[in-house]
Amino acid sequence: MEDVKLKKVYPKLRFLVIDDFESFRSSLRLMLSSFGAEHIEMASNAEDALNKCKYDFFDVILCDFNLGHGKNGQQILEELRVTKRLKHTHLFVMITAETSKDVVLSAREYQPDGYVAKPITRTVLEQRLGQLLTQQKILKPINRQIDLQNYPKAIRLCHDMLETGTRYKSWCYQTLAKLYTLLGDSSSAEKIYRDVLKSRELPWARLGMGEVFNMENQYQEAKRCFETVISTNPNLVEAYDGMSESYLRMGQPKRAQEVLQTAVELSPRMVPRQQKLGEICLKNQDIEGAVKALRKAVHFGENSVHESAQHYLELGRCLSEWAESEDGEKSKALANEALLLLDKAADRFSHDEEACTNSLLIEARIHQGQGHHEEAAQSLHKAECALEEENMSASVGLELAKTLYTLDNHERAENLLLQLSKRFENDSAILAKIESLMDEPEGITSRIKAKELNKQGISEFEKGKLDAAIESFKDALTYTPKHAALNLNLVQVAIKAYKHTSDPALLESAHECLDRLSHIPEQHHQFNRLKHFRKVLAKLSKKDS
Amino acid sequence: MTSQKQPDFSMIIASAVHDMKNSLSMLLHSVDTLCEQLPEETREQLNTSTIQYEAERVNSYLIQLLGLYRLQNEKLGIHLDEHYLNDLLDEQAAHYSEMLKAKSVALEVEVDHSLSWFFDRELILGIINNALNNASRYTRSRILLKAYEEDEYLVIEVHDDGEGYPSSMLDTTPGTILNNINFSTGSTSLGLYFASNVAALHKQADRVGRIELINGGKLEGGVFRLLLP
Repeated sequence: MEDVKLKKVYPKLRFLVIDDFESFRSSLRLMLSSFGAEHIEMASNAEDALNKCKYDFFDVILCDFNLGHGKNGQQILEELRVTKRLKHTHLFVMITAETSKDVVLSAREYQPDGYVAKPITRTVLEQRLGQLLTQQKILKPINRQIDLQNYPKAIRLCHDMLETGTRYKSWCYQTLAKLYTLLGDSSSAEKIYRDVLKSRELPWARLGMGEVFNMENQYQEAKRCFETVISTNPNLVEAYDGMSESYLRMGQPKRAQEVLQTAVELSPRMVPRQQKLGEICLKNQDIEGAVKALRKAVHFGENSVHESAQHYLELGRCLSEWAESEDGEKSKALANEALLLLDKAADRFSHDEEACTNSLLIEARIHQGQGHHEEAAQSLHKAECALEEENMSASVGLELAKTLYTLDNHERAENLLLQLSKRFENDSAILAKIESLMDEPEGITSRIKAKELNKQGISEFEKGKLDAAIESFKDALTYTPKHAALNLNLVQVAIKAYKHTSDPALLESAHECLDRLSHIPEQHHQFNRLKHFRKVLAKLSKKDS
Repeated sequence: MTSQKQPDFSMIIASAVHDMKNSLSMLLHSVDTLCEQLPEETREQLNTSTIQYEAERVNSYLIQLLGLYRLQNEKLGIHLDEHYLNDLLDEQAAHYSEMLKAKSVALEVEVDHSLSWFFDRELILGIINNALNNASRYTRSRILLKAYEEDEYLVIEVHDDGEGYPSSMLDTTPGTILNNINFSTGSTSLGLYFASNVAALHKQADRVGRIELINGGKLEGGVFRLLLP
């Protein structure tokens, strides 16, 4: 029988009540003790609560969603889950004025076990807690295995429970699908979602289905699932996350950004989402958007489990780039913001050597951008004292190279990147970063202009307007003269045009392009194309002479 | 000319309602604490259940106002999940039992323990809460809260042994309740408007939720029926 004797349960449980109003806390305490509870602790804010949880486990936490200043109840819950201070066998009950809104705005993995709506009366709380405690007790064997991360065992127990019949069918299905997904068994998860959806259109199942499709690289189908969810539950933020992921993997980062922006507006406090948005903005070369998102990631991440040196550094980089593309007061203000931020980062993450070195290197670029060459050289020197060139990490190496470029030390920068490309020749992600830095050490405004002109040149080339294409590529090269693909594009068009006109000036420009690419290492993905054009050009030049 | 952005009135109401709910919580707590300190006789003399009952009515309005705000803005879809009816009805009954005891009204719940259904918990609770509120106002001595399955619909009923609904409110043809709602006649209208809107949001295949008002039933008074597909 799924029945629990509650009178005997209450005295054994440890309760924590979190609310910012004294009178609220004491009335909840009175209610709990009238149910038989004996261990009841109180906290008036998030800091207090998290501190208490550091030294103690609580079986039941009753937490008000709105705690005035500082973190809200949802953030407390996240923090406790991430730091594993709240086990699945424990109970977290959120007290809210309006439950439905909060339900959809929280990620499923950070969802409370139950909600209680205000105003709370003794009888209602007794009923609701009774239901939840009974459920928790019955599901305990499964939750214990989840806490132990013994997922196969937890799955077996779920199936057992479903077979013998249970009140918690819906919970079992959701848990099963989640566990299968965690184990990477997308087809088993898919089967559960399909079965559930066969009998009823439920948002959690449709959402899960979309996530499974994303896992299986079926992005169109995934997108359709998320659209269905959003059409009925436009506030379900996770649907936007999923859809953004689909767009991203379909190679549409612009759409991915738009979709994620909506999610961020709905729930701005989710740090990982802000960080992801920043990343996508950068992909789209939207530096302002990236700064906006990363500012929030840093701000809301402060003093939380999500606080990370990387967020500070990335924001510092973006601010530095943005400052370079502006003039006057605006540029100065951005540079100052960046310097303050990096100071704070160095202070907060003083134990993280790599972060501190990178911070100094970014600082050097900001000073240089403001025309403060002495300070720039000083920061660079400080950073160099802290690092060993032979075995520095890729992250520090790239940062250093970028700073060397900015401080007009191109030769050292290129040498450094050459070494790095040899050391990390098997790591395609690092190689890609090395290449893009080699191609375009210039600031973001130049990169954007070059990109536009390159695109224009390609379309002119495709329409057969060779002269116009040559002009466009040449224009683009004034912004990013070292860009490998761009130079090779110009070579390709020039050779084609030469075959029509035999104008020696065309071969001349092609030669110039190839000379500019002498720094390209074998690991560069344009290297084969470069080799090919070298041969072709050598042949043509021979004939000519 | 730059036009100043007009604040959205319904948004203002919604946020005011939030604050009112918080205040109401505090108010109810204070009343509870005060009452506990009073001797039993004084409590009866003061008729403290009236305070609770009226506060509950205010709360019920607030829930509906928030709900209607949500519906109108369509910002929040309904949050469907599976719920057990006995959990829900017991909770509501517990909520009202004290107040009804003071009014000498008996409240019964009739539901199968294994009956579960898919619906938006908060919204449906709002409807039941309002129906109970109404029933406790018009009943003489008994209220029956009942849930069962019929023709693939979940039926939730609130029976009372009062005079029954006036004939102008009775549902002659399905779906006409909305047309008969007259906001100038008072509170019931808001409740019915809310209930029929929320019911209609619950859809399954081509079937849609609805409410019905009839007279008679088990207690030979008014019956409020909520049908969900």
